[in-house]
Amino acid sequence: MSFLFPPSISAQDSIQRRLMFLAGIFLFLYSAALTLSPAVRVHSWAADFRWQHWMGYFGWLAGFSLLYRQLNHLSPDHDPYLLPIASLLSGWGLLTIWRLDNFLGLRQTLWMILGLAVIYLLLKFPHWIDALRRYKYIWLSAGLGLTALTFFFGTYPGGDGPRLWLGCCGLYIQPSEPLKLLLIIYLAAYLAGQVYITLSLPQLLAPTLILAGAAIALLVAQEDLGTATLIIAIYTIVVYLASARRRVLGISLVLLLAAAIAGYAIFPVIRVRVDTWLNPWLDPGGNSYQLVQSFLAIATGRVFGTGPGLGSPGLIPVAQSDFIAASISEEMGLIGLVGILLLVGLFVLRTFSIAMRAANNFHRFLAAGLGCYFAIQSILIIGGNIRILPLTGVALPFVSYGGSSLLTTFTALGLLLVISSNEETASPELPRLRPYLVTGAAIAGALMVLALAAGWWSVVRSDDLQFRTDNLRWTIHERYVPRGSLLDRTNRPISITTGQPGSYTRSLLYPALGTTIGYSDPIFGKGGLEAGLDGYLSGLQGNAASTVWLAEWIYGQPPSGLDVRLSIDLDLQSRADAALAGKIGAAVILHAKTGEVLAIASQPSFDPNLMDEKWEEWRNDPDAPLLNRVTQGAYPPGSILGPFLYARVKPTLDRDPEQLSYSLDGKTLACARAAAVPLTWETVVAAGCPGALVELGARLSDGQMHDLFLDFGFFSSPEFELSTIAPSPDQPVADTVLASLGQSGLKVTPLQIALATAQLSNSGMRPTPLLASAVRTPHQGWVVLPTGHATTVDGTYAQPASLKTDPTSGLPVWDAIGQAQTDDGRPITWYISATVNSWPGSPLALALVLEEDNPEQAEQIGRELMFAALNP
Amino acid sequence: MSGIVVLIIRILLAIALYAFLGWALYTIWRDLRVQTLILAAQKAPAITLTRIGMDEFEPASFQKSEIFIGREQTSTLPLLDETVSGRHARLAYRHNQWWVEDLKSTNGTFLNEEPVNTMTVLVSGDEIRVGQTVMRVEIAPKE
Repeated sequence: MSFLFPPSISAQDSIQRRLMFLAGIFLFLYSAALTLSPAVRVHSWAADFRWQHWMGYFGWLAGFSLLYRQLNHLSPDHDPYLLPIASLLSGWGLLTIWRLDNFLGLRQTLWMILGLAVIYLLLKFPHWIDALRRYKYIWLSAGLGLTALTFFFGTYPGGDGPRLWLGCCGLYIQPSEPLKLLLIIYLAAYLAGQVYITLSLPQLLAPTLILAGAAIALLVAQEDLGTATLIIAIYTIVVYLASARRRVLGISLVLLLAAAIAGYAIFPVIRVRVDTWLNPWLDPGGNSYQLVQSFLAIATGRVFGTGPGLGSPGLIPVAQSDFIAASISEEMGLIGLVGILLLVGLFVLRTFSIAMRAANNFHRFLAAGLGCYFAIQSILIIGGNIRILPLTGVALPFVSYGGSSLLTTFTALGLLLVISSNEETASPELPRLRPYLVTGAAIAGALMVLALAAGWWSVVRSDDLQFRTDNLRWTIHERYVPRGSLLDRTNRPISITTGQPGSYTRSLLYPALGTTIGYSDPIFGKGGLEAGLDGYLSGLQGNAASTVWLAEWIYGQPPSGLDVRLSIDLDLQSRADAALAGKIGAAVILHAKTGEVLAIASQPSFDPNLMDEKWEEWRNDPDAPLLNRVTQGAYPPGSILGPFLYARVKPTLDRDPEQLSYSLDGKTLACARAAAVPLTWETVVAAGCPGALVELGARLSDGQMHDLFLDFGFFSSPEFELSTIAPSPDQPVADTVLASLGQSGLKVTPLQIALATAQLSNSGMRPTPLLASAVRTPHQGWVVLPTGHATTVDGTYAQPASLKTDPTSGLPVWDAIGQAQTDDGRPITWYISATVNSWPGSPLALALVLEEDNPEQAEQIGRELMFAALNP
Repeated sequence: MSGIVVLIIRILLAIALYAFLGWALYTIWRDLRVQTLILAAQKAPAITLTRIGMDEFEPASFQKSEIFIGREQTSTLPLLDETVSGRHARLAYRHNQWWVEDLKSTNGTFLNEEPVNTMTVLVSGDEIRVGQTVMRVEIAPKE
């Protein structure tokens, strides 16, 4: 390293050399970690290592090593901290840009070398700085003129955006960047021209008009809130430092607020910026997308960061310029961002110390002005990234991508190095020290607030933000970390992950279960059980907390996902799917005691493996194949209410049914199928005869009818791994006749009916449905998942169903059929069935719905499925 | 394995960053302490201005490195004399010496009856005249 940064005669040399060494080591380690990062992602040494960014590293090393030699040679008395801090910040920024985009990294490397050449020229010809002073109005006019040109010829290099650039032949400059520097030079020259700094208002008029004019023009013509704020703030602080009048601060604060309010009222761009700052969570997918993605990146980094190359900062739009602080936070963590803040603070501290020791007032005000420029610009953009301030699109000095910005900051660094090389000449007396102390303390305070706010996102809010649906990092993890498989009750695979690390894909081996298993897809997100059981499948749940923590700490990824065994019986499931094929309907069979779902079929279904091609088609299909009808199909119960009404009023029945059909609004409602003779309550209820239902309902008051619905869970959604539709609102029954016909507006899902059927067969205990029965953990093997609590209702219908077994079915079950009409008049056929109490095996319950008027077929399918379930 | 290697690099990375910051902060702090000691050593010795021929005024003594003389009330030494300008003259301690400088006053500043046109060194016993007020300078010996 001595070859790169050789010792010199300068007194302060040991400090500077050691700092340059450390910066070189830091950037070397960063580059090395970035090279190895692909191997970490795939957990193996056989990976495509990243090499391109070394071009940036060696460019940095060569450039700064040469500049270091020249600096020691040309001006041995320079400040020893400026160059190392600037080199570390710019090298860190450069490698971060390489990490995000190799092409931009190469461009930035070239800009950096150009910037170093500018510094060299300034050191070689230090008297240029006085030419700046002498011709201040020429420089100022040139800067304003160039900026004015953007009003006519302005473009945006990336296509459509704010027109702040001047460009030709693939090269773009942003004149507002050098304009900042020229305004600072002008201001320093003007103030230094006032012999004794007792600035009266008329004396301040000229610079105020020019700077305020420039700021307003930028604001009005280009809606560039950031630069306008920056100019006003630099002006205020430099005048305050020069005059020591606190009044300046007050006036300027009022001006800034007025400008902000006017800007908010007039310009939509500024209104959007301020609104998204105040309420970023209102529109996280639209206007505040960038901002929310920035918070997510910082939250992902936590305290230590994922490590270079191991996070996904590329998910933030324009991560390389406006959001580079968030990108660094994700991969280097809170400690990285605090490091940046400390570096900025140290740099500004040095500029103030240079200002105090400067050879003349021009140098002093220039150094102080440049210090403020670095400080305020850094605070504005980092504050914008972490929601301390509204987002202003200014660059983070030295770090952000951007040629004009980098050249400007390097020129400023060159000026500071020249100014700091003043040991012979005595500095003019500081009129007052206080303004420097006040300003320095204010900047330090602001940086501290930024550090605390960064801590808020990366520590306090970190856990909540990890699991937001718009945090797309899981899509990248799924390509690198195997997701757990979903298995049926005999461990036959249903949904598995295949492929190599880096290109894992999910496939559903049994596509007919599409609406139930769902999908885990980078474009469409997660649905069905893939969403409901995501905790286990993605490895974040079920693994020991230390395993999750270690995987995140070492690999920046969750651990391997865990397999989940479902209660589904694939044989029975395929029977159900085959039976429903070509129809529109749903069927669900569950264990009446435990609530385990043995088969859950919904037709038409969709094949998640073909989502990319057919999503739009399915979305627009009137038959709604994306809908899981078992949990999300809301149907009127119709005459399937019979068995439930019968169970309620049975003890009070003293005569046989008199009516079978019922005439409603001039339409005759008939039994769903022929009632078996001799006619008893059991046979007419099983046949779904509306007249009998009305007779049964007549024995209940409105309140009792309501309690009946409540007791069978028709007003509540069961807890389930699949998302269920919102239940019908719990409203009093208005019309007992309509209510007993199941046409009172109440809607139920097949799952609710199946659970109520289980309740009838199960002494009044309604189980909680369950699909996931066990999870395979790395240490304990298969761990059985707890079943949900059963809901028990007391009383009147707690006795077992006494519906008779239909001897024709030959099964140890009772069953019933029902019909209903949807609100738009389409017919629905229901079928329910459950094992009788004397059945010694597992008690089962089934509910089936067909969106057509076809009781014979419903009964046939239902009995076939019940037979298959009882004779496995 | 690759994860562990990179983890070690990441830890070293954080150490390098904070070694840089720590070393910079430490040397700046050390530098600041040395500067404070030097500044204390360079502290301006007290200067006393006694108005000659006006016994009603007590001699004015200052422990500052800069004194403004003038008719303005905000001056370090305000003088009620119509022949004195608002900001008339400045006494400043530089390079271990006290200096006097005329601030382009109407009637000029005189040191031992010589007009002061540029910054001039003061010694004990000198007489400064601003307008019609004459003052004798006493500079305390350096500690």
